[in-house]
Amino acid sequence: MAQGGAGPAGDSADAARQDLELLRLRLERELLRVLSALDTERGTPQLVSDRDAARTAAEVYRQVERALQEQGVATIRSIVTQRALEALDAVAPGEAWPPDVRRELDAIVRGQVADVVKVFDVAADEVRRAVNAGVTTGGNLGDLVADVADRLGVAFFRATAAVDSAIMAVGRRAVVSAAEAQAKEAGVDVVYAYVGPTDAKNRPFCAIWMGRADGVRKAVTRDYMARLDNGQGLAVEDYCGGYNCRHSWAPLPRERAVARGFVVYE
Amino acid sequence: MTVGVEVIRRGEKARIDVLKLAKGIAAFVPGLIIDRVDAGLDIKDKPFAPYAPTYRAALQMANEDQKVDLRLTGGLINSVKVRRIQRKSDGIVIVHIGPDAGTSPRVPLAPPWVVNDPEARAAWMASPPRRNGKRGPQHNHVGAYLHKGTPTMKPRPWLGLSPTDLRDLRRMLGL
Repeated sequence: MAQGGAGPAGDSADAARQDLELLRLRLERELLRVLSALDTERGTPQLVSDRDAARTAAEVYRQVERALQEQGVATIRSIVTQRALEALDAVAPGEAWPPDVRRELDAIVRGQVADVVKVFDVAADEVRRAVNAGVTTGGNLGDLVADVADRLGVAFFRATAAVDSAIMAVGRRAVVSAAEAQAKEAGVDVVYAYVGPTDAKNRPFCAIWMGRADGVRKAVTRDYMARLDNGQGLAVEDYCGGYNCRHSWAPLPRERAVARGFVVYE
Repeated sequence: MTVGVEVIRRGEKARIDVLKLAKGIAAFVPGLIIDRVDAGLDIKDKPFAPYAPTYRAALQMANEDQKVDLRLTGGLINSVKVRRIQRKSDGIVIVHIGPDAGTSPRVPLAPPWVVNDPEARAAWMASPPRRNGKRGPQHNHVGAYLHKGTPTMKPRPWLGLSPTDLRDLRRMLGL
């Protein structure tokens, strides 16, 4: 008896969140150690505001940036890549993806890694500003540490959303690619129905494709899907309406889609 | 919780390539389930039991879709994929399909006592709680409760292939 398979996409997303949480704790500890090197008035947590203190602050900032870059970015790169590939395997366990599909999927992962890295660049910049403000105004070290921890928390919130999106995007593309390959092999006419909730939270793109205004549900061919634009600079095949979109593409035989009332765009 | 689709090959001469078939099942079955649930139909192609009036009101208060499609975040339905492909020594290949064990962000919905009390309801609507990053229960647990029901919730059997799904799957697999 042989078994195939890997961790499913949602499991991968949860595992990625746990990885990120561990990273956040590690970085917080590292930042706390680095920030405690800032000069304070003897016996008080009040930050010293003079030229020497500014030099120390600059050095502290360099260490913060290094910690974020060395630990944060490297770990994020590995988390996104590893978890996205797990999500991919969950769609078609043990599948050897054709090289062109593999390239497309790798490109999605690379794009997402770049997005998450940007989150950390923004966080490093915010930490620098917070340290500068603390030192120039002679603020309280405790307040500064709390402020930096808050900013780090926001950065991780954004990083988690980006990792979730990366995993969802790879999963969507894999579903479409697997269905397309199978449909070609079996000679079946497959279209992709846009499915998901129809409510006030729908983005304009999703509202149109879910037929909120005209009551017409829509499906597309693979070629048409590739030409769609959600206005967010993100591939509709992977992200549907954008980041954190609740919709997805369901591959269906054309006859079933038409019988369900979907209008097929091609 | 998964549903297994079995492909059986017996004897020496197989008329079909079971592994190829299993791949086809893996590619198409999740889409069929997602589409049927989206249309509000159960595994007998019958409409799902309607939501309770209190739950519908809570959905309305949160600006959520009231259609009975088992979606709130969409996480459960979007996670329906192949869990594993099992090859047994007797030639049977089982494709396990179902939701994952992941979670989605918890959506704060008004509890029944808030929905039923005009004052509490007005207060809730005035400052509705926002999502706070907390996670909801695992998708496979939610899926099992929805499928089988609970003492306070009607069953809405959704995980499986309805007669229409099976017909369409056969067509897509060229059988």
